[in-house]
Amino acid sequence: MTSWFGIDAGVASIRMIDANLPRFSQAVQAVALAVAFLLDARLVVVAVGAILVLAALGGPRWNLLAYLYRALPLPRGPKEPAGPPRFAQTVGAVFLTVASITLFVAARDTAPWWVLGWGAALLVALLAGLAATTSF
Amino acid sequence: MGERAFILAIALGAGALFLVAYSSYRRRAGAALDRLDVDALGLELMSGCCAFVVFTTPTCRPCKAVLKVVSDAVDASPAPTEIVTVDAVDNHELALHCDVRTVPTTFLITASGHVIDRWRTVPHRAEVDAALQRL
Repeated sequence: MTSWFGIDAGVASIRMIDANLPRFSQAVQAVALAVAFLLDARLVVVAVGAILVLAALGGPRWNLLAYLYRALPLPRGPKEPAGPPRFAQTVGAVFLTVASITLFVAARDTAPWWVLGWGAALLVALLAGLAATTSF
Repeated sequence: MGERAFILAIALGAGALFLVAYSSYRRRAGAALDRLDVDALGLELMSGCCAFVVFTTPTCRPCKAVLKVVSDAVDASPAPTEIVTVDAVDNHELALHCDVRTVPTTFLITASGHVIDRWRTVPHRAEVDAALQRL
């Protein structure tokens, strides 16, 4: 690699993952959360949130969706850096934690229940859907 | 369930609208600059050669991911391609001239400076490969 302006890249230390894994994971999250919203299935939000929190705190070894992805006969993608999807996953985990707590603590059909509960869950579903279908 | 389906449809519509707006923004932003000043970059490329120009800063972590993706793509590509990193802080004027508003910003250019493609985030490997195919 040529560097005219002298920045040490430190490229070797970048962790790489299969590019299709985050796409698959985001698609599962988007569909699960949308269906949960339609059917008023609050436990699904808790379940998806718990999976994301486990993956965010425990790293790849605790990423249940990654095990599911590897178990299924899906086409494998090229390698891409693990950082950006992992950051997105952490943001999703935080939002779904807020959503889960609100959906079970706040009184039903109140403003916080709708906005902080289902609103946060739908936001995650929307962003996960966008991330899964585009390179955004 | 009826009202929830309605809300979900609105959310889907908002997502689709955002996608259309974002892609048209990217197209227009891309059209603004179709050539980089090779002399200002200090590039002396052989004819027929091309280069990735990665604008970065010393503290930019995603830039390392960009360089990893780009260098992997270059290693796999038959076209002789150079990778040039430019510190956007030290070369502020040049970054302004190239319409760089965020790091990482990556250009794929020909030897004459013609811009083949650009990315304002960490590109996916498939996008970089596709751009190299267009050379």
